[in-house]
Amino acid sequence: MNRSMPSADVKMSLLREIEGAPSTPRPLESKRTARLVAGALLLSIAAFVGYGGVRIAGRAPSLMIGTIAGTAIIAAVAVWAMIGRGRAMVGRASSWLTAVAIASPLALLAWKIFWSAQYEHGLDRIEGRVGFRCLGFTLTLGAFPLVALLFSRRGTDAVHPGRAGMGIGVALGLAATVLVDAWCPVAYVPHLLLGHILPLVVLGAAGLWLGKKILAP
Amino acid sequence: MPSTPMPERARLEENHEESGVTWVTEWASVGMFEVEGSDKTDPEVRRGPPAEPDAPASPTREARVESQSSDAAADRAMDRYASGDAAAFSELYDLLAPRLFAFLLRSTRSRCEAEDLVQQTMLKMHCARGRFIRGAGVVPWAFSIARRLMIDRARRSKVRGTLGDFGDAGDVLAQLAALDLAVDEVVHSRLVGKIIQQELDQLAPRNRLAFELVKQDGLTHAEAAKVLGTTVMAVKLRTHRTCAVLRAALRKSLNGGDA
Repeated sequence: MNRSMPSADVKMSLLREIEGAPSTPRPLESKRTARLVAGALLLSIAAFVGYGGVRIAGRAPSLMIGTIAGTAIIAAVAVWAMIGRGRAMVGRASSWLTAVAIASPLALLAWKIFWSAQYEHGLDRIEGRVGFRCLGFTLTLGAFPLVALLFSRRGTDAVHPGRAGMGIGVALGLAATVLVDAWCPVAYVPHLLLGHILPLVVLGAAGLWLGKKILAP
Repeated sequence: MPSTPMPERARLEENHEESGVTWVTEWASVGMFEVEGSDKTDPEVRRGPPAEPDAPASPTREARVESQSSDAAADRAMDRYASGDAAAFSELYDLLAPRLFAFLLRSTRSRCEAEDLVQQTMLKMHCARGRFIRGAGVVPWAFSIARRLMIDRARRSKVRGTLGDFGDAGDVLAQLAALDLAVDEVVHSRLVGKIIQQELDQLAPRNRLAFELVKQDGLTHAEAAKVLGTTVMAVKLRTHRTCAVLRAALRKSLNGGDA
């Protein structure tokens, strides 16, 4: 017996075990994943349409376009930084994920305040728009893709499944916020904190918890 | 001594290797424990004896190339297996299992447990094969799964493996004498090995693991960073710190011993 090698029995029993528990090869798994993610995105879009879709609500077109464009850029960077893995099974470093997960909602908040402040009454309070509807809307839009993406990556992150899940949650929350910005005209700061930033925190926390359960091998 | 010298010799050599003596002498041979101010070694240098001045290619370079080609072969095997080629699993196992086993054995100090963890690691890879990214490196992924399983098991049992005392008990000198090594060389190697192991055990786990992955398991800094979920710079820093601690400990102990 070679002491620097596992015994031959290990290989034999392993081969027997995988014969008894076949796994899905990549071509099939890719199709399943595509269907799953596409289904989740369709549900989100259906929810967006169900909530009323794009609403200008008296906003200046440049205010609306600028807000959406800025949010879209922040969301794109967040998706690249926290969901993208490049050609590697193990994602980015934990410190990187944590930094981007904290910085991107702050960047979103800063952008919305900055851009809305350029317009008269841009940061004013609107009666009856506390932020709960935006909170629910963002959570609804982000939840389906979050579950779908976590499930499509199940059992693959052995290094930091929780943080990877958190990153996915925040990034998808930001992507959902692009649609929410097309719907919500309010930029009153307490409203932004409750309706636009809190859901990112909630989705991040949900991703953290689900990531530990689903992403860990 | 047994009547069949060759198998016994092989066993002793394996014990000898497992005891840590081999890697100690290998590290020493590549200048890992050179005192500061002496010739610096290439940080990427792995195992192997020092190069001959006129050698066409240095053995360390060959070892590195060999390690890289082994990694590439493992990547190809995993890619084939992920694509549905069931026969590639056996090849993948042959390429990965010895490295995973060495890593796990060193951490758990239990052959049985290490074998079990190798099996579980390969099984997890099998289950997730459909989600393996085309062109990704399989070695860091396999090590990260193995490490996670080991940590989970340790957490569950709340018992860390006992610190082995380098190989099996018994008349070690008599055993090593069968290897035709000079006794003082053996004693010296064992002493160095013990010092290193004691120092490693006292180090912060993250520093020790970074050092072991790079220096003992032959992973690149980038691969070790992936396994540990940190940056390449952090791995280089941890490895450098560990080397410095070991150098200082060896200098102190060996100079003290000679005095």
